[in-house]
Amino acid sequence: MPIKLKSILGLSFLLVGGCSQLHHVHIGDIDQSQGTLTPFTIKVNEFGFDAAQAAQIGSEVAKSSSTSEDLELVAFILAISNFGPKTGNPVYNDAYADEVLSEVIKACPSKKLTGLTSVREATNVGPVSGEVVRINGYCINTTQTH
Amino acid sequence: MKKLFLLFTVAMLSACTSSVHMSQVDVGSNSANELEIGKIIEIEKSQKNILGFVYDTNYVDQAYKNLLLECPNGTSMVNVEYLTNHGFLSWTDKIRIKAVCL
Repeated sequence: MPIKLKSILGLSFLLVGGCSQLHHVHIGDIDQSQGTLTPFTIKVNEFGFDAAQAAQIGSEVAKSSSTSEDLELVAFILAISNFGPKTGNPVYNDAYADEVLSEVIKACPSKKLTGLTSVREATNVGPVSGEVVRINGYCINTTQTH
Repeated sequence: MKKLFLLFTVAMLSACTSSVHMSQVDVGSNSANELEIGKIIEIEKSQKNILGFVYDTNYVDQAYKNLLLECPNGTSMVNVEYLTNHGFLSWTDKIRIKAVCL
């Protein structure tokens, strides 16, 4: 029974402990002079997973010392096999944000855009995360004056 | 058998991870910006890093020059993506540009 309680508590902490992290933001020109503005949002995301960190956590909670050593070795191999700068957790698909431009173009039937804000962010739960690229912007609804 | 499974799992997990550092979309000045969605061009340039050492550091400049060449009349919209493909003690930095040419 106490083990079950501990598991529930641990899981709750993991779920509650999930937090958002902003990596990069870029705000473009905003023009409110050409008509009313309709907001839109494009969001793409990908599953991020830090396997080396997961193995490291596994080695720390492992009951036997041999398993712990094995997992430490796994963490080391994973770390040197996935070398390089990281923003958030690594992903297994580097093309998940490729369609952002075409999605932004599709979002505005008037083809007039302003106030584009590009956000690179993540929602982290330990070694697992959702790696997100979000574009907010406005379509300009041109007013016809006669 | 257990070690073999472990090795296989490690090999699978260490394959081809990447990190997208930045992806931004920018739109030109609004007086000129009634998008005529004609030619969308794509440019990708990269730089190989081995243990942090590089010999060719002007890949972004090359991408920018290509953009100017492919869109001689300018652009109305640009999407720049900066990412890294991870590898064994090495990595590849990439810049991907997509643009709507005028």
